[in-house]
Amino acid sequence: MGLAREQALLARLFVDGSYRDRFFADPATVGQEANLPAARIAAIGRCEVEIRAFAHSLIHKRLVEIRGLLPATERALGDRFGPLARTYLEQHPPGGLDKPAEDARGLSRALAALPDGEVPPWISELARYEGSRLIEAAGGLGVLPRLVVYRFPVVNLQRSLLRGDPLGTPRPRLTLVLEPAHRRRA
Amino acid sequence: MGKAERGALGQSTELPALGSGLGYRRVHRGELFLDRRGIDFLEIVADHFMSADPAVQSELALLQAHFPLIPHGLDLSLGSAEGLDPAYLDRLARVVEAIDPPWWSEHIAYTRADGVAIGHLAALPLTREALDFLCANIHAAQRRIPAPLILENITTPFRLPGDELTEPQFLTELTERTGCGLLLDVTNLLVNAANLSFDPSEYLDQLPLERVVQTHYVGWARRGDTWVDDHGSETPEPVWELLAEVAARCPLRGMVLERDRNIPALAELRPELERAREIGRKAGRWD
Ligand SMILES: [Fe+2]
Repeated sequence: MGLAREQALLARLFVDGSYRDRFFADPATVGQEANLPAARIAAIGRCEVEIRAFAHSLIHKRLVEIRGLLPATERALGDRFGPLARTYLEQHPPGGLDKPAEDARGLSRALAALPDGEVPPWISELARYEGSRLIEAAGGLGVLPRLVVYRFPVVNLQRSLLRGDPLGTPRPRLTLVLEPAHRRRA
Repeated sequence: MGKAERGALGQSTELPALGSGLGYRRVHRGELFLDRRGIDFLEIVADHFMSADPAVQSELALLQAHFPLIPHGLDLSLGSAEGLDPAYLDRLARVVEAIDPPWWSEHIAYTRADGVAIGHLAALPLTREALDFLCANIHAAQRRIPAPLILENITTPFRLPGDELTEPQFLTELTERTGCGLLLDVTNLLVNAANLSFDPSEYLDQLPLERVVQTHYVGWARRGDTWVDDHGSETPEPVWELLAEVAARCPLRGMVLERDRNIPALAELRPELERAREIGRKAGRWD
């Protein structure tokens, strides 16, 4: 009858990076809360290499999928996209019906919320804009579109990045974008 | 298990022979409707059509008007010891009902536990306990969805110790107890054989071959010393060879090319679809 508890422990080890580190540092102690026989915890503890590899492959798969959904943000961030996205994904288990879109929206919100200086403000704004264009999989469009203000010309920036145009240093310019209102998921 | 049983298979030869099919990906939509030749049916990811969004529903209706459709679920988590998510099962059932297919498919896996979504298919231990939970969940799904269910083998890069059965033994008992058919992913079989060091022909010898209704096939990748079913490249020769063996030995009703990464233009996939159709035709599975 331990399968439900074992699946709960494994699922957490697969998706939660900080729990994974704590568990493998001391499986016997940290694994106690999983309420499984000590021998089973020890057996899982001995599979550290395999479980870590599986967890990394899940992150890799999610990363590949969000790259395709936030292409302009990825180009704007260049080499920094991978590490930032990885850090975000490690801390946020997948969710929702359309998991790649959910990941991409979450990452774009997280990038937009980074304090100024972490990433250039125009990239924060671009990430917020690009993420907002991904429509809720299970929601559908709401009735009323809404007007959203950006501090940079995000529409042009996205277009230029996707075409591969040289950007220079983008200057702030208040930009209004009409966005479809996303209905909350049922 | 009789044919009248809900969700059970009956004799797989009573199912229509659909032929050579393609896993539907939205990027191919335009090309698909410009030239439908050579695509006998489409396998659609059921999860992508659960939205009530009118655009999504009209896409489904359009596909249905032009192709036989087979729904393929990703996230029912049939192997979850905590049971099925009734809301998800309901959404899935609505998609399957709308399509009214000859069969539908899901994986032998769990994708969530204790409120955590893994976002991927995780392997079950090959134990009696896991088999009992899996069968109970499948019976619950069959009560809700009357169309025959076929179950797919997944890849796993490792197995925890403690297995009581081999995978073919597990699948034999599973199909006997549930009446389900099998969706044999030949790429997954070869990837597991390489990673877990077993002989794919021996595996096949022990499988209930009369239960295999459909196959998946596609290319693979190698990352470090692990083979991965990344669905990102052309189908390699060993997969074609195994597909031919499976077609010769199993009462196949369909084969599906399951390309998800580095998706090329449809024109580039057509030769693979044609080759699969020819394999099935030579084996006498369809005309
Ligand atoms: Fe597959």
